[in-house]
Amino acid sequence: VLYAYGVVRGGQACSLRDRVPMTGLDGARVQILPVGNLGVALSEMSAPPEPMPQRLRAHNSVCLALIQAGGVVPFRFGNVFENEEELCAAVGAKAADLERKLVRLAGCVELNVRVPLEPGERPSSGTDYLRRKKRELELAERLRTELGPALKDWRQEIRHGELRATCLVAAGGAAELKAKLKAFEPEPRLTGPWPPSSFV
Amino acid sequence: VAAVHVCRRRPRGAGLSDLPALPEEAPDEDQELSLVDLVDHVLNKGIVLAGEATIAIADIDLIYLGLNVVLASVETILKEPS
Repeated sequence: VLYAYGVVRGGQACSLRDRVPMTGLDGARVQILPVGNLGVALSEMSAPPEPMPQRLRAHNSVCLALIQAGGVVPFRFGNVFENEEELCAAVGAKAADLERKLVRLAGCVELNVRVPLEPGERPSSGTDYLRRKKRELELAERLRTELGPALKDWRQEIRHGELRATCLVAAGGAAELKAKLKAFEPEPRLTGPWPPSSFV
Repeated sequence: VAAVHVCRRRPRGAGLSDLPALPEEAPDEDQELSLVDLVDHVLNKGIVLAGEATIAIADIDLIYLGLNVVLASVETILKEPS
């Protein structure tokens, strides 16, 4: 079967030769299959792979390497196709959308930022609830301001007592932003850079 | 109940452009990828065009999954409106 990691630009296959460690799941070689203006990064495997931790890491590493080589629209783990025809049909059907996403995500990674919110009891009144919401919004705005113009896109949610922000940034600036955010108060938990899977 | 998914191995396609095998890069320890974050990113996000996966324990395939139906983190499932 063909295991697909993600979609790259069609002309990217050449530049990948020198720049990307092309070892994927279970040590399988990663290849680029041209599909119209696009290319699909894939490995040939004997059977659909089970989602084991080392395979998840391999999938993630391949997608990160493809970003270094120009950009990728990352697939979720487990996109498996019986043959090239099936793969080409699936990618071809969404080619225009995938091309748009590639342009938008070229050279970008995502950083995940989790900022703990002040603990508290259930709001005692509607006013109390709204005050709390206002503080949360102010915290999110302060975080966005801290990230500045480096931020290309942004998702945020409040869950489990945390402000969870997903930030789309240029791959080259990710390390600098992480260093900058370490000084943010309250101290956030940072992970990444990740492939920009939240923005596809 | 166990289900085993069997796939025929396909012959090598003529349209694939082989890339030269390069040395495998060691995982970046600095990233400190926790498994939870990794699962959230790799199993819970990203494009789904088609897919399938088999959950197995001790080399016995237990559940055959249609990727676009089942593979999501618990958090995402809980987040879905009932």
